Amino acid sequence: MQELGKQQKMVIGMVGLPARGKTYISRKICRYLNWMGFKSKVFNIGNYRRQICGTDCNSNFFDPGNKDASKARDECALLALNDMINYLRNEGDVSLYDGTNTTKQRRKLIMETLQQKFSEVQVFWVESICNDEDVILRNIQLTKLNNPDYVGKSSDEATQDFQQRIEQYAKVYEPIDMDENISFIKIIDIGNDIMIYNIQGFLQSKLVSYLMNLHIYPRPIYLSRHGESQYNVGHKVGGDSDLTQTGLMYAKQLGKYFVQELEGNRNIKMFTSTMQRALRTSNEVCELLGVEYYSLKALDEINPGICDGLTYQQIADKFPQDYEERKMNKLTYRYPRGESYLDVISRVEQIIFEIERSRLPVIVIAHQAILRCLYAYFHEHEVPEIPKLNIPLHQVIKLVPAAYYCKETRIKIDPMTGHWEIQDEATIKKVKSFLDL
Amino acid sequence: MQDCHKSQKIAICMVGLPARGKTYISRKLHRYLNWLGYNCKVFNIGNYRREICGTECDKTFFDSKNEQATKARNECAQMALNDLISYLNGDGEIAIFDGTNTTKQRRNMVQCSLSQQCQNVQTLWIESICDDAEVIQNNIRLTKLNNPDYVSMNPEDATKDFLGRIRMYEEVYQKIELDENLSFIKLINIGEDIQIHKVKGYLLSKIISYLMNLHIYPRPIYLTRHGGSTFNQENRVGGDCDLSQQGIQYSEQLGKFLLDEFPTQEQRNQIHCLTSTMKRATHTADIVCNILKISYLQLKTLDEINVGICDGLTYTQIAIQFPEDFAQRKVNKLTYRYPRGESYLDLISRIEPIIYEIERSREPVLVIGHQAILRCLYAYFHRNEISEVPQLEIPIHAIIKLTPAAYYCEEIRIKIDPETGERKQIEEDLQIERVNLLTKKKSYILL
Repeated sequence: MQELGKQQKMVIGMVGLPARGKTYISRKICRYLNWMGFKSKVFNIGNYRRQICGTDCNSNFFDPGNKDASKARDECALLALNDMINYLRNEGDVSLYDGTNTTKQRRKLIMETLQQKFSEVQVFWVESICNDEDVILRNIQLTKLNNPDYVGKSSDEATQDFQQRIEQYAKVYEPIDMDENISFIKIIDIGNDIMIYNIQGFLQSKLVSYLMNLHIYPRPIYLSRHGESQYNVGHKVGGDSDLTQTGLMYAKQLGKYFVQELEGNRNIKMFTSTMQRALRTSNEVCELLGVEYYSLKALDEINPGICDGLTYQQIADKFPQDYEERKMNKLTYRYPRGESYLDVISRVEQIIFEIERSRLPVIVIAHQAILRCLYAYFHEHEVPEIPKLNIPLHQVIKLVPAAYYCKETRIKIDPMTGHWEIQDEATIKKVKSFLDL
Repeated sequence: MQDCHKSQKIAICMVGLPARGKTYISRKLHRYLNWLGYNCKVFNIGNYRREICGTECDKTFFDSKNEQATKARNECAQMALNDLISYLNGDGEIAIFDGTNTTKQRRNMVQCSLSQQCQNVQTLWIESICDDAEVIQNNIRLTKLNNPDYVSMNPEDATKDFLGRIRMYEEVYQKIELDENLSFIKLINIGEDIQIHKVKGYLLSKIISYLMNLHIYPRPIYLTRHGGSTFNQENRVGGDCDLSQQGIQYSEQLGKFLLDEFPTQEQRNQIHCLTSTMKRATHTADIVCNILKISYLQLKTLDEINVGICDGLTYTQIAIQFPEDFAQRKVNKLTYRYPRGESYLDLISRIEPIIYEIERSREPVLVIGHQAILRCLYAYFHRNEISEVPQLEIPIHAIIKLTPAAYYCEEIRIKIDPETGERKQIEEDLQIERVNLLTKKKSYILL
């Protein structure tokens, strides 16, 4: 669907006091846009400031009355802005300007600079406002204390200094006003209230829908392929084959895993495809858990068109040209009368929204290509890596969203013995499989 | 996707002065939600008022100081609300309460009634605010003057009276405020400014996304099938074949037709042309866009319905090889899914993003698609019932032009002869007749 939006370059400017989730939001947006096919990058003004002014800046540095510091901070902002414009001029589609941008003057400076240097760009502002003290404190604890600014300081000291820093900003904070004549969305108290003004175009519209669905509940996401199927054993692609005996055993063991993992919690959302092997696997799991699943065609495996039912060797023999083409560009190659990975990404987008939206644990029982796309989104992989990601059979991938990323755990389940082998992030090796779908 | 979310009932209540587009929004939402598969109904307070109090109500009827009239109006609102609540407690899933609801008191009454008398209902309030005098004047002209209330008046008097009616409402208008504790969305000046408060949930989020994309630019939408293909000639389904000779001719004639529709290159450059990734459609688009000197977008989401194992067969072959499936499809063409293929319901789900895209577009849209796909698109704009979708007539070598008007779409169908280029407008009522004939015929089955 990205073809619909590839007209203008775009700058998304963040606005808000510190610890309001600006970096969280910019990184989420960046992740979503990249996954959809828009080359995006976040330019964090804080990083520029740390590089140029060093990391030993206590809250006095942020005092608006401190003329030298203010000048230095403005310079950092402009440096980031320049890099951002260069990025857009070259390979970028969207730049995210992640900074506080809390005064009308600063926002005006940015708009004017962009007008001068890059007038064809669309600008869209995202303001995050939060008045809930608990949320702010939690943000500070989760994201600021590990910040290079506070290395070597105790967490109490760091929290106190950071709160003072916020107060410095609050002194001069001017929330976006309609008379500034800019397109914006204000997100208040994590989406309790949203104000949208003058949004234009396909991409801004999509982003607003996306932002409306974000929340910060740390619900886990479980991804698993169906159990081993007959076609898996025969190394054939496509088809709608059933599970093998081993596959069926995995399904039962998977059910047992979830019974233990979820500890009797039936408030979960489970999604699967419309294909036999996935449905049977889901059936087994749901019987043990006592929940229902939703069968969605959007989760069906990638359609291999005319190659349906063939082995890779047969494809290489019958369609040597296509075989070569696919090896060269597995991401964009579309099976004749079938799909490409890009088509699958497009197809699976609604599931991403569904998972983002959900505040309940989510289980997805699907297929290799589908899970590669979903996994890549949550685990922040580059889109070109998608067709080679390692999603083996008989393994559950557990993703738990943390501050800026997802904590990943992989659980290998032996179908015969039911024995679990847990691999945490550190021991997961990413293996490139060449003989893949 | 909707199966995951059919747990709660939803009541959508409109708020706003007269001529602010409340009925327009209600009917658009009604169309969208029905098309997505929800049981949805609009309850318009004005209609109840007209039935009970008659249509001879001039502006003094709406004066808040007119005690008798106010009592009558409150009774009408209550009746509409009662019917709405019965609907939701029955098999209705979403109900839209279309009225001004301009005072806190009225809104409070409605909100309380809903929470007390409906089991498990979510409410969303949609307030439409507009202070652009031109837009309001235009609304009055387009929708009020044909209103039964003004049947015996001339347009000037009617407009004057209606403006007077608006003033009556303005005297007591209280915009939604935060302390009312309602979930709401305020649409200001046709979506230029939007405020959303406490809106959560799958369907409500979807509704918001939909509303954000609405506008009132009367841009035309052209729907046409690709030119005739070799499979069409052989009565085969599926496949990715190319155009027949006639199909190529049609494409050329279609290009010429559009040249006449859009006389200047500037106008042509504005056309948003969408097609599928299948040969017959892209070949048609190639020819047409070459003539118009514009580009087109290929979208896999516009590909024809996937017929799975029946791909490449004729209907007779399907009847012989898969008699059970053939019979099943006859019985329920809407939900029947070809083995390893799709159903019409899958299609509707698949093309939803295209609907958004067309709604959003303020420029003319040209879709060169396939029969099943166009049936779904057409049904959405033409407000057909979902059950009718699989039987709608979308003939080959014809172009359908839809122009959104106040509450519906104006439609023109033009058949273009591929050889002579002769253009003949097909009458709409003839077309309806044809649909009825088709549903009665037993052996003739369209894809």
